[in-house]
Amino acid sequence: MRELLQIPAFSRAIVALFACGTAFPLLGIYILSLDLIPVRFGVMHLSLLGATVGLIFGVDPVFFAMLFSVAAGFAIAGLSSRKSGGTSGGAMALLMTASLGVVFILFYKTNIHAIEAFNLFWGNVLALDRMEVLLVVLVSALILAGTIRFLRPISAVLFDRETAYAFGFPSTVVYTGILVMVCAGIGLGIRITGALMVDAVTLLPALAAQSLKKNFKPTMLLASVFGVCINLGGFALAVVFDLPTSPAIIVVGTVVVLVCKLAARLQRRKERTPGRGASA
Amino acid sequence: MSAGAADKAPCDGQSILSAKMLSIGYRRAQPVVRDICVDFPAALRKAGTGEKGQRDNVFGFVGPNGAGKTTLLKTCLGLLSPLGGELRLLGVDTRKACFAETRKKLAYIPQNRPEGSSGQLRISVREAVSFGRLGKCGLTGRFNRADREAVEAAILYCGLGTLADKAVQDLSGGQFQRVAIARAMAAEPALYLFDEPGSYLDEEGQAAMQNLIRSLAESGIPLIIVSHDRALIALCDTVLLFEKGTARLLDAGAFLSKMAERDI
Repeated sequence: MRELLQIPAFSRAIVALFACGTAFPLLGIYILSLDLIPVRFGVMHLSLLGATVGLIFGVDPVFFAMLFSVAAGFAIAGLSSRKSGGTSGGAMALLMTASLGVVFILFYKTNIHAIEAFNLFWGNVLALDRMEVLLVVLVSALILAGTIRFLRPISAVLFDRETAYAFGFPSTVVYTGILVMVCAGIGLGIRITGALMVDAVTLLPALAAQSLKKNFKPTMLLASVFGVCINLGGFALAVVFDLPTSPAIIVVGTVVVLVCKLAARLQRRKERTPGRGASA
Repeated sequence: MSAGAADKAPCDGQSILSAKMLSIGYRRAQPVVRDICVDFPAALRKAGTGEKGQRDNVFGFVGPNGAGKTTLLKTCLGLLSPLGGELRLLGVDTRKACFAETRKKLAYIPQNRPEGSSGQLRISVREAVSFGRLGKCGLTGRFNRADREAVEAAILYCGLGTLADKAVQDLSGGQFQRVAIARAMAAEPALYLFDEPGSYLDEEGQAAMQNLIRSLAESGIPLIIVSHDRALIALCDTVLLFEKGTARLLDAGAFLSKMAERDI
């Protein structure tokens, strides 16, 4: 193991997985609380388009993926109802399909290497270079710092955006900030887990934490802890059993979600069973 | 707490709500209500005297479902823009940029539980009540001692002391309505806007809700209540009756008598 850690690609991968493991699950909580599932799907495909454009111009695909996804974040915030409404699922489906269509046309018509294209879909955390790891650490730190600094305003907007606005709170600014963070994370995640498996580092830890039915702050903390465990556990599984990293992370994440749901169910059953509390 | 808040009530003579040829709705081509002309002046008697039964500042929006009551309430809050004409709340045009400051003086008590409150986001009663202060704290959301005191006072006033650390998801409908009122009180507003309070509550919950609203009304802060409930309409001095695409002012007593005659 020590020998493996001395390989730069491995140590970079561990740093990136640790950093995004702490921060990206918070994005998962935002996605679930604001019902941004269709949005994140559209943005995933748009960042794939951005990465493809990056490959064509010989620029780091992560940079273009983030550029496209952050621009999408601002656009979606502008398009969604000013104070309360969500975004149209139909519009997101159109965006997703159109992006994917253009991506495949670009793959076909340009000289993008098949492996590079494959990496966009499936990700390759071992292929991260130093700058990309720095970018992951920086964006993760910004997400964590933004969440901690604006925790109360963020929770107010997640709880009830319309009423927050009605009380004179600048909920639109906070909502836009949340969307941009989510989109930046998705754009960055394309390199770590691939466009099709970004959910592994965002939604799975968030689902696991939320299933335990804790209050907002403990849920955020648990999501971060689960995120690190799932990412590093999945990476270890991939190394030990010679598996691709992203699917291994998904397998570990799925197990963690199922265990948390089972634990929550057992806990509820225990609370409902009469006499248990008295005898204890 | 109530008396302190009453000091912020609008001065005598200032309009709480005034509308001139106001059209409201969701689509310009299809206004829900047209040409509303109304003026709800502040109380002629000085607010905040603490006199029992003082009800000079309670206004109702009444009428059948879909007639535009909630639409006007949302327009008052700036959640919808007027489709035509002019709407002023506490003397400020809702279309002006400075209305953002006026919104900080309003307290909205919505009809339904927000989606976030029933879904995955678990928030304690204290946190939910504290959201009422955010308009005053701004984007930073940092609370000082006065903010914390206002939150605690509102929690106690609404009888939520024992529930303060409980998640709002675990509360009954009546308890959640009290949280919404406590959040509004924590804002120390100049005007309360209720949207169908107690509409999903049982009799006991409705009675508790009415008592709470009655005590707010007695504190001298103006209230606008959207309601079908006769007991709540009876708290009002004046009502704006919405029907057939228009709205007209009526004395609350006269409106209730007319309702009673119709029932007979």
